[in-house]
Amino acid sequence: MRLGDPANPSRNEIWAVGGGKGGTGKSFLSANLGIALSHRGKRVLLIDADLGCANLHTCLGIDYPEATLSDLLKGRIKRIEQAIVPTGIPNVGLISGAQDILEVANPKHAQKERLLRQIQGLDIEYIILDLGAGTSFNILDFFLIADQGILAVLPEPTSIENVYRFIKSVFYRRFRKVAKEDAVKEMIALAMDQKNEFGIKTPYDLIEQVARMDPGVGEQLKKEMYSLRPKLVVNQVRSKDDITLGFSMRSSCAKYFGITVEYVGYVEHDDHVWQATKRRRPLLTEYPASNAARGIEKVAAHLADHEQLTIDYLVGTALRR
Amino acid sequence: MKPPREQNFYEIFEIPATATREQIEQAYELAKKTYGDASLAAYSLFDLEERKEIVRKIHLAYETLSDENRRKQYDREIMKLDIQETLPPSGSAAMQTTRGVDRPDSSGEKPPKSEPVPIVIESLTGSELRRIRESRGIPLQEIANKTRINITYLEFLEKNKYGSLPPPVYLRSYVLQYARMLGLDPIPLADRILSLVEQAKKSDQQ
Repeated sequence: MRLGDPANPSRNEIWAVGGGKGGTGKSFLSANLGIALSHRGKRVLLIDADLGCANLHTCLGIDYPEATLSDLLKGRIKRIEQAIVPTGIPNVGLISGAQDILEVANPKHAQKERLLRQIQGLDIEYIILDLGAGTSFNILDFFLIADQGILAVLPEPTSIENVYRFIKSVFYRRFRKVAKEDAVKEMIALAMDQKNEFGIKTPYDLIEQVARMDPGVGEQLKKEMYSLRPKLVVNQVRSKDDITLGFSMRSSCAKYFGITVEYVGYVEHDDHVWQATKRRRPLLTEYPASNAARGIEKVAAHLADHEQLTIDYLVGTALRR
Repeated sequence: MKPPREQNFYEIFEIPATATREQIEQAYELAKKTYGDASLAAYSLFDLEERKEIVRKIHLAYETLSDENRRKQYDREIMKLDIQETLPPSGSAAMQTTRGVDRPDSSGEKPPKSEPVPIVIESLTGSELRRIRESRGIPLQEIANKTRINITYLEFLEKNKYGSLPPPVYLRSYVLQYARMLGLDPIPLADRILSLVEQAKKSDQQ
């Protein structure tokens, strides 16, 4: 899926943090995951890709970023390096989001491609994209471009529903890119409507339906489906049941979508987060020993090492209070 | 990955076939929480009926896998099913091998015991279903209790008395449930039984 120059050996890893609903901690996670990676000796660039509603800079205590992503997309700045502002945290840079110009909220495909090529050319090990709320094509495309797509969920029904909706949208967005024929594209568009005449409810049904129209494309869709491995982080955890939710969502996604969601960890509900946010300081620099901070360090480690939680983790797990 | 209706007991728990007793217990506890009434994770993806079906399968999976003997039997059966899936669909030839286990054919060629034998649903009969059920250690009464199907009908089915079975519209759902209890592929089995009923009807008329 990634564009870019295969001859370019300095391949960095792109993480994208999304999850549908607003207020699930996407910017909070992005900023602090970046800092956690820097603690592991990595160079990190945070990019606020929430083009309509950028505030990652606020999480880092930066008042008015001198340069923003819109300057880069609009061509006011030629080189990506010029858009990077320091964060005051060693080895963590920031490209702030567009704040003023509404039209920038919808960059063209060519603009996104150019941006991606520039990102890939950077001598920086990790790029973290903070995606906005919702399921617009821009957000889905950034999520699909990333090496690791991270979903932030709160242990509450609305947030969980939105994460599922997000996954479904990501799916169909990717499926549509694979499908070349109009008839297949139409079928995929139809499948988004839960009450479609073909009774397509799950991606399985869709793939079966498509396979009947074109076995080759059916196979391809299946392959695309298996290659999606979103990472799940449960935020604001207050109980063991909240921790279990990550495993339950993983299981439900496997049965419903047929995909592997990796549960990379959780972050405890912690007043330190609220205190740090009010002071516009990142949690990991303000309260590095807090439970929430330690949770984020673990999530970062799991993501960097390509590991996830296993269910035996639940045995004897109690929240530290 | 397969949809839940096609998953075997290990797949429904998302554990390897080599899972320890402890892993099975953990998976069972998690599955009950995930698909039970109070679940936050499943309600928006699966409707009530689908969740009930998953929960039923979870309990059945646990009953089978937590009993060492039944698990061994089940393992042998799914091994057969796996092999069946990889075989080309050659019904009659495969059927001979199936029969070969209990009743070696006249040529006297008996396949070695250790060799797994495929079940070919498309050519199964009621009495063969009984043998499969018994080999899995599932009493008929248990199926009747769990599915609420009248045990007399289940007996008719297993005694090849197809003419005495209820009308197809009911029978289909009965066979689907029966198949799931046995861990057999429900839809092909329902098709098979309904075609046997059809045949019985025709020969009655002649």
